[in-house]
Amino acid sequence: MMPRKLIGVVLLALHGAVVTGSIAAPGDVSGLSLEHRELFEEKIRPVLVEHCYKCHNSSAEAEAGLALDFRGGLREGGNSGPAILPGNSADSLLLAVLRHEIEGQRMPADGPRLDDEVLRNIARWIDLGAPDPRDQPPSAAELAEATSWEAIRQRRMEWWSFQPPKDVAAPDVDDNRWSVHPVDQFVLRRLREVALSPAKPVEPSALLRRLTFALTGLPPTPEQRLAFIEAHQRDPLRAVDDLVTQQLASPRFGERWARHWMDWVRYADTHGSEGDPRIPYAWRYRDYLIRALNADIPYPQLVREHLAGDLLDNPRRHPDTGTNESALGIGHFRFVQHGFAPTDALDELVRFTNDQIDTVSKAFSGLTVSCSRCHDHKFDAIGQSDFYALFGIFSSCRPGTITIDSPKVRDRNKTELTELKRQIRAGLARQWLATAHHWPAILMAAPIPRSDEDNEHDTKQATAMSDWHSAIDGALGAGLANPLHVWSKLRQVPPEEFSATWDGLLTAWRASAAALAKQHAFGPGHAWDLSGNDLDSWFPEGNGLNGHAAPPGSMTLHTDGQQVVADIYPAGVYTHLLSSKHNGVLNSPRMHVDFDQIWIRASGSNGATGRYVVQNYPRGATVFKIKALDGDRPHWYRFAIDYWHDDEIHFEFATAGDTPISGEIITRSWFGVTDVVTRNAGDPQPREEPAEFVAPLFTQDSPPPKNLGDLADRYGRALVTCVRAWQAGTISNEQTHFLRYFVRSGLLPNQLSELAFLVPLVMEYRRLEAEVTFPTRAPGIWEGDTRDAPLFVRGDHLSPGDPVPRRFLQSLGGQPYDTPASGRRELAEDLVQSDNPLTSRVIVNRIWHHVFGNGIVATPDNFGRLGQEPTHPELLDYLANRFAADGGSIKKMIRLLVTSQSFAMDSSVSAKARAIDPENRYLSHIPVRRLEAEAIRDSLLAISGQLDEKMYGPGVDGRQSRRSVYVQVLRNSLDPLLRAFDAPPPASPRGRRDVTNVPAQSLALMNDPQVIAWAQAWATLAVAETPGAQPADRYAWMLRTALGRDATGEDLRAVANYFQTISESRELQTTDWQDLAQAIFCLKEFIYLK
Amino acid sequence: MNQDQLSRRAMLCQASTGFGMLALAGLISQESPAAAATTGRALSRPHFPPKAKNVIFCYMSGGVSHIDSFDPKPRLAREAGKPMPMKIERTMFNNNGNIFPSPFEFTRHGDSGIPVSSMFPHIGECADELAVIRSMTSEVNEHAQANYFMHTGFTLEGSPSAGAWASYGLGSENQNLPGFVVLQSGYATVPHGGVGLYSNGFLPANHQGSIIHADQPEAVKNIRPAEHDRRQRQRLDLVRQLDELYLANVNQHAPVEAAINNFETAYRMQSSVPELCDISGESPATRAMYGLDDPHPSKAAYARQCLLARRLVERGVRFVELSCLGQDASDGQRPNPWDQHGGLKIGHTNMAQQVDQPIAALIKDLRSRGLLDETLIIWAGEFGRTPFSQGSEGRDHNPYGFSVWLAGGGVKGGTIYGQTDEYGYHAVENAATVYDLWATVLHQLGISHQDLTYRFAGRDLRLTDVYGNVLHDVIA
Repeated sequence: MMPRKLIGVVLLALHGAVVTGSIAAPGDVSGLSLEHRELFEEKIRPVLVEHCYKCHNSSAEAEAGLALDFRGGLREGGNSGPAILPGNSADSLLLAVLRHEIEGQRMPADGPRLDDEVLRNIARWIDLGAPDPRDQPPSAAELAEATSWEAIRQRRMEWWSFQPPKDVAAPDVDDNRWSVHPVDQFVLRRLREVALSPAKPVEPSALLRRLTFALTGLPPTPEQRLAFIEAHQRDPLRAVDDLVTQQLASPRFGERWARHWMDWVRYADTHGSEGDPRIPYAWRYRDYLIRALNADIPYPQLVREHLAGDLLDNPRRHPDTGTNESALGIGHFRFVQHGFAPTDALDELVRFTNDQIDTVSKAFSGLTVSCSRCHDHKFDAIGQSDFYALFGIFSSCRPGTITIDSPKVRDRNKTELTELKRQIRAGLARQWLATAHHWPAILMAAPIPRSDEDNEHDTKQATAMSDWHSAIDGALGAGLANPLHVWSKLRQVPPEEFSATWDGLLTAWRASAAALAKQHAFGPGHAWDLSGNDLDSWFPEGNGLNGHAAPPGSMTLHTDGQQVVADIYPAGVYTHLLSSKHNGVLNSPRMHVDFDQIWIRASGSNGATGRYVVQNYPRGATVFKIKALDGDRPHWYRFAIDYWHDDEIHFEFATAGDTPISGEIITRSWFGVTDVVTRNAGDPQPREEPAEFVAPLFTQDSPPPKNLGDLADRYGRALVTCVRAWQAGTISNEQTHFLRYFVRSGLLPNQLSELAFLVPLVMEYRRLEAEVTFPTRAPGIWEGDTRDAPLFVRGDHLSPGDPVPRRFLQSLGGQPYDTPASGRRELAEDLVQSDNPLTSRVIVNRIWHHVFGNGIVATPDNFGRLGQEPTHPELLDYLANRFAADGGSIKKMIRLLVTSQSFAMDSSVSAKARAIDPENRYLSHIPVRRLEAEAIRDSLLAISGQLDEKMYGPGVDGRQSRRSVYVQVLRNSLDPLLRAFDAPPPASPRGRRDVTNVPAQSLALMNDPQVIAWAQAWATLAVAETPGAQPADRYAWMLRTALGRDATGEDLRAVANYFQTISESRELQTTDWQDLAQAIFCLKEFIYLK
Repeated sequence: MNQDQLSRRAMLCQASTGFGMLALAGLISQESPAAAATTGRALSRPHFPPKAKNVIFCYMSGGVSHIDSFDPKPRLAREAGKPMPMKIERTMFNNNGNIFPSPFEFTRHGDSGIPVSSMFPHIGECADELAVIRSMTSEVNEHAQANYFMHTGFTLEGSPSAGAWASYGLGSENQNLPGFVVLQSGYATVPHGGVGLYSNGFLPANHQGSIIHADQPEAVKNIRPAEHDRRQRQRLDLVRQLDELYLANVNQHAPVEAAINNFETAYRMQSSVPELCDISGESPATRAMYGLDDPHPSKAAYARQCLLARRLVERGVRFVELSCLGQDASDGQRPNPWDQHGGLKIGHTNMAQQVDQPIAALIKDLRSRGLLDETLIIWAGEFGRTPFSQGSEGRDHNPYGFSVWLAGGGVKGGTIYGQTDEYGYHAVENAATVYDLWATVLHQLGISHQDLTYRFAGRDLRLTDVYGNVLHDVIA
């Protein structure tokens, strides 16, 4: 924060500069009294500089021929004549224009009308003769300085909300008969100032209803009502206090207040646009809010978690599952809208990052930072660079599906599984080497097929060595890449052609090896060898990846069946080396697309994917290709990327359910990757070379084979070498390929029946693997390679300017973040630091708004110049300070507010208050208010006995009986009943909802089959709850249950008349009670609070 | 407090017709602080004398090909099958073929000689009523966002639809019907992007588009009572009695009173909506002109929308949007039936057959009843289509230049405005924007698009964002 003193100095210096420049000599000002000079310098000049100079000056631009930057210009006026008539404000054009009295000439342009006080000052100044020391126009440099953003920003920082809260004590208003409660003292003092008095206390039943809706969003039960009224008669304060204690402890409290919070961050379950795809696990964020509010987690902690919960050193953990609770806080970053298949992906990135900035700045700071995307803020001390400082932070992160398991769960049995694998591997190697001396003989024994008939005969005869025989038979047509190809080919040639054929195969192998070497040497382009250090620049996520590449020869084991080894892999990154329940996401660094293709060499199964991600766009579509990684052996996939020339991309590998937008999939899935390279059209394309698979056969240090016996020995030696290298951990990729073939073909012992001594180890492995759990996932963002974002000139993303360091808002002391990470942790700390003037004020005002119906600042999302100013600024500061001193306890703040006498005032308005304060700014009473959509629906459910109190989990359809907070928010099809009663579309933060009155509301309560069904349920309940009751007693019960008060005689007479009319002296039937139930649902009193 | 925003209380005091009049049009934020306060109509009187009172928006969802309808490009035939001689912008499907001439014939129509393709013979007959804008552009290349852009001036959900703005600016002239109605029939559905396209956005909810299913027994959600009228009336009378006791108890709190009266409005809507949808009184000649009994079911269904559109503007409904039906499209889907990425000829032929005669009938009918001069018809999709093929016989999206037209409502009939290049790819003369289109429409309604604003989230927002110029060349 800039110290206040310094700001003063800057302002003085600024004024001084202009004053010096425009006043030639002391004599010129001798005509101005000190008082007039002060008036001008303090009240007039700043207004002119701020609002007029830019377009009406004498050096650059004089709109309408008018220059207002010196006395002469002002008095001479412009195209419409003199701007002022000194001494006559009534006829001064300037004032008429500023007052918006002239259609088409409303100044300032694009801005709201200036405050009444400012206009009064200008009028007074004109009436005093418009004393003006500016006898010369300022120079261009002086003008530039006075109208510079820095000068404007400094002036705008004087706005109330940028000042630290004052350390105010609650006033001691002498009239303590009403209340000694600090809130009441502030309210009373304000009322006294305008000679108003607080309304009388509301009757206890209405107070109870007010309390239960404020705290839990539900109507009081009849039992609660009886107990409360009784307690209230004994001791009103105590009764309220006890009820508040009970309500704050109810799980329903978190559900109620989470829904408020969801408005602040525009919670949604889908991304909108074509297809309206789900945001996987968005509901976990909602559940997190409910738990956090019920547990009264300190607000600063929640703010931290919303910015960087995934990065905290000591995150909070879910009490039962141990999952990372703090990490769930970042879910709101995902509640953005995403277009479908944007052809301009950077534009899309700007849009959704703008949405994130808008939400974070409004929700936690009450500032409209997104208004400064294209230019410095029009009204507030927020520069365009502030927007890009935040843009750099958020766009350095990538939309993701994060894994939140506790380390214990995440790493469950990993050590044991690793050790078991080591032992199994050692055992396998031993056993394989023990059988090694048989291999040449097995090869030699394989019969050579001569005809189909023989072949058939041989096959019938084959028993123990059938695997070998069929492998050899199959190898002939499989080409050089098959390790047995050489054998199957050479055993068919006559002895005299043996050497020449061998030489021919050797030549072919050498050619292939040369091609491979050339391929490896090919440049330019990005190329990553993910089996080596290149992995360090990538971003691994998930519990199957540990940031290290697996060495060649890494194996996986079968989790069931007769076979032991599932596969043996070349060096690379694999997610499933211990378990295919583990997950993984591997993101590349950012790439500028100056190439045509991306090639990956990968393997995978069961929903694993590879995709290029353009400008962090998370969806797949026509020009955002996602490929399924399928196949046990790594092979090459090609992605054409020329369409995205000059854009920025990264590459992403993911197991099923781990891309940012996929179903909530829980399944075994894995991927492995060895290479990622880029190529241009015309470049040689990466491809497999036979040389990679058969090297051990050709690279031996021994004389060329002369006959099949030599060759069989050679095969034997090659395999032994490979197994020994595998045993020693020194195996190469080529040896791995060679060995893999013999293992996978069943040519080396791999059956439990052949490996009896390994059975206990394998079984233990399988037991421990079965204990591994599938990952727990949540919506979030991943840190990627960070970068300061360029400022987009005029907001045009195709006109990047200089990079802006990542930091907090300059006017709130933002300094560049010195971190290789995105800066979210630092931003979180800047938001919650004690000298941030906005954070506590904004939240206590939000709480006040939801408790009292109107905020102390009536625009809870905007504490800037276009927002409303606080009606009770000192009370707001008092509450903000007290909130901070209480450690940011939301429950304590709510308790403080609802236990005040102000909260307990009646809704009646005195004639005097109606006249003086029609908007109730001074809080002389508690206005009647309509319940929110969720409270209306929940009331229908609660009254009719249908409310399902199950908590948490995926969102449900609105026709179900869960509380409304659990109704899914599908952007393209919002729940019609909730929408009708003003549940907001999740487009931007809504601290204050509309309260509208549209026929759809009445029609829903009259005719919606769901509402009718609830009425039916309630009627049945009413009959069951009042067995044998007289009709009058039963409908009295119904009114009492729904309205939380005893029915009056008039109420009862009206109902009696109604029943008389409809039943026409027959017995009342269930349908009649249903009709009454529906009538009560339609009562205004049912959906309004006194 | 913003002076433009009359406090609700002041509004109630001024309204001499009482709450019934306000039930639909007014009744907004209760206890509203200045920022949220507003009334049924933002403007006590138009900014200037209006030319049009109502708007009918024929939305061609999916994107009609301009070079196959209103923007003939003979050069495409001459260079058929050749590569495009210019840079090709990124397309949605990246399956770009070569130059693909129109499979439709163009004929000049009327005194103005406006060329219209064989897709639209009936609309061609109305050529002298049309002002064709051949240089329309959009900023996005994808349905949902382009739909949002065309409807709201912004590419994402959350802003008010043009119909909501019109309703907000001018209010409704019918107390029993909403000011902004969206018609659907048959297989018509909401375009990609969902019902947010008809949203009131940040404007008060009474300005949101209400969907009327022109051919369904329940034309409006929850409009059909589940019981006999007498029974419902008796219950509502009870509700009213009890409500009035409550109203006395809360000192005649105005929003409560408004909510009470809202039930009466809803009750009346239960009969006014069916009455609106009951077309049994229309003459055989009218039915035939619209094609209501056409054997082609989607044409008959669209005809019903067109006829209801007339009945709605007759009843003073401010803004009516029509929805195309999806069943004929060969390649398009229900939300975007004009979207022929393949099979363009058959798909566009079928879609044109659906809308051509009914829209032409609407123009003629309004003209003959003297309503066309005060009713502005807009015909537009969210973008056009590429002059080169996608695959062999489809076209991809083209937001860089396409055609829309206006008729009635003070529009200069027989006009062609702007042009695309010789291939119909980019707008090259008088390029027009969606902001220009709505600035012009608002202008015809007597509204200055720069002055119809609503303060939300710290800005004074408008339909045309910070852009827009009235296209004076297309208005009389």
